Amino acid sequence: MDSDDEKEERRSYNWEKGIDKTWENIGEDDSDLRAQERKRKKRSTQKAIQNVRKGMTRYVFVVLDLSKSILDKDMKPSRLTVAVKTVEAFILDYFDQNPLSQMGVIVARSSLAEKITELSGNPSKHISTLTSTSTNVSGEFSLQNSLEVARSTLCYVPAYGSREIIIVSGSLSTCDPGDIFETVELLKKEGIKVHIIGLSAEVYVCRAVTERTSGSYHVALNEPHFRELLLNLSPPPPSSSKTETRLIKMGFPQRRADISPSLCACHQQPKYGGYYCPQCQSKCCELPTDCQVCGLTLISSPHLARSYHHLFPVPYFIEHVPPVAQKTFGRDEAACLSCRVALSQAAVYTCPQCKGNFCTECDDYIHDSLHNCPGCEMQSRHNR
Amino acid sequence: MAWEALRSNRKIEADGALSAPRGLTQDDTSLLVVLLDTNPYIWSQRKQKELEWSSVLEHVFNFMSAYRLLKHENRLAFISVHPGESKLLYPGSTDPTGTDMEDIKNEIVTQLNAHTRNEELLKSNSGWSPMLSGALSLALCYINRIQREEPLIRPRILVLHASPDVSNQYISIMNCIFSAQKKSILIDTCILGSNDSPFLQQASHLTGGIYLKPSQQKALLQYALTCYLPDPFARKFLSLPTLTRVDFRASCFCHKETIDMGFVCSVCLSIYCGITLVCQTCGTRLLQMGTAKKPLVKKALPAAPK
Ligand SMILES: [Zn+2]
Ligand SMILES: [Zn+2]
Ligand SMILES: [Zn+2]
Ligand SMILES: [Zn+2]
Ligand SMILES: [Zn+2]
Ligand SMILES: [Zn+2]
Repeated sequence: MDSDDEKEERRSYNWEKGIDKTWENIGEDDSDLRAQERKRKKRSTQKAIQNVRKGMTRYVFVVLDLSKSILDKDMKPSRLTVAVKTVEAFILDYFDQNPLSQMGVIVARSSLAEKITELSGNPSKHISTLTSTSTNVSGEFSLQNSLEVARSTLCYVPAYGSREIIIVSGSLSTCDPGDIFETVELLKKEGIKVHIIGLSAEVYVCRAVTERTSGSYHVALNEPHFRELLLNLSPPPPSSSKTETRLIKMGFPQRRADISPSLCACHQQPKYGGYYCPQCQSKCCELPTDCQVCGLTLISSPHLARSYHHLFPVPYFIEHVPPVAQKTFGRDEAACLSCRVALSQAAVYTCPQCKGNFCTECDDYIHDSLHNCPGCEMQSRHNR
Repeated sequence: MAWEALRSNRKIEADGALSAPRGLTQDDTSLLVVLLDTNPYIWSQRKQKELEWSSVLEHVFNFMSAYRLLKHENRLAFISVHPGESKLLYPGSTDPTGTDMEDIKNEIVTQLNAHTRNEELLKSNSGWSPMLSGALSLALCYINRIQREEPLIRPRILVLHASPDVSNQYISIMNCIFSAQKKSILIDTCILGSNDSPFLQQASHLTGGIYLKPSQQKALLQYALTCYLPDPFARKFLSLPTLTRVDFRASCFCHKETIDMGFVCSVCLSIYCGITLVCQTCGTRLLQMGTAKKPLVKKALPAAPK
């Protein structure tokens, strides 16, 4: 699809950019980098606070290009290893951040696309299937076939969900059976977004497909950049106005361990324990799932709770560069409120709500992983 | 073991993380963070068969010194779960020379006394509930700091709790549990009150710790020595108490009531016990529930009103 000249030009452009970037990074002071990183994070946190409406229920197909182009050695040890590892990391991160969402995996090789896992909420199954399938690499990549296979499943998912296709491809060409833009029109109609991450150089058709389906298109410069690009797709996206918003009826079954085995509705096999549907009392083995008998969506409350930090984010802490010997909770020591480290040299971060002072480590941990401000938590009657 | 049977598939992530960086070995240095409920109201209302505050403290100190005897490098921290303010009592802001158990004990008792002096006004006020979520957050931040200094240390948390659960702490406690799960931190819990705690049941279940509500509180130390003292490696060879039933029901956002069936907003996942037209958390107008899924998909999607 691309002319050779164009390929050459873009490739050298990307390559140059990659070198430039690393050079700049080395030249910079460590603290500067850190400050930049923090500023970037601040922006994204603020964005998250502004936009509460998110597509919490996502249906995503990940397409991995297993054509010959993936064997290139420009990433260490090879594109294939890097791609598989990064996709695995993405799968784990995706289910961590989108607990109610589902995912399926497609591999594209020999000009065909093969769905290796159906849409489901089980990360370990996707990973094990992907690892065992990725040993077999052959032929060319077909963008249209990949999109069609994903579309054939995605057009049946509930309308309140956000539908996405994420393609990781190292190919510079696509081997399609028909007009790809007809497929793109269908995707557009179904509200399916296509995100593509290229591993070699920009390809016109990829840019066109992503633009028309309002997805994103990026070309990875190097391994860390690729990882960053892919993992950027795991937080829930802002919900588009196209998706329906509705109340979904859900059941919260309790886990029971039985003394004698009974048949489960999902596998028709005798099992000892299981989750009992609160509506029809049939038993299933795994959550989240739809009840096989009455169709009720069954989940456990921890699944829902995993995403609540998106709804109630910790406010961004205000940075003071010189230490302030401020009183925290009546105590006059200038120590970090949560880990008690002395706040003498490093920058101090103050929570705008509880006025507690924190060190850099705690600030990072609180916003990246914990999602609770220890100071606010201790002010008894806060309402959440 | 029933524990194995109780694990949901999502748990695999945490398990994977547990074994991924380094296999469990016998001589790992560990960090134990003890969280003790110091709610004066609860401890003044003890029933006949329940353990008094002073004896609980004695049992806990004995357990802590047993833990220190396991390995010289083992580290300890002690956090009070107190109404209004939880606090890291050991290691304090003072110079951590207290390598002797007697010193540690003195430091904690002195701080506890200072901490609990202005109790009198709280005694009758049951509206002040201890901030378990705050204490857990503190413990996790502290562990995070120690892990930065000593990346190989194996942290775990022991919660000794007597007060009832407070429903509006649900989200914060779950946040703590998920963060602990991600970092492979076990949360062991011991309930010294009269009721089971669904929050702490989930905490232990999801992090792979032990949840225990001793029937004979007089034997608290004995329970602690057999169940909580062994490290995760040794626990593989022991037959430890298991939970046959974990309450995974949710509580609705509107009345904070526990429900086993409810309605969830598709945008923000807020839970309601009945049908609402506008979501109170995210403000989205919600369409009524559809019955079948497929016909809805086939229809052209109208733009949802903002
Ligand atoms: Zn089954
Ligand atoms: Zn059912
Ligand atoms: Zn700190
Ligand atoms: Zn705060
Ligand atoms: Zn309600
Ligand atoms: Zn909502």
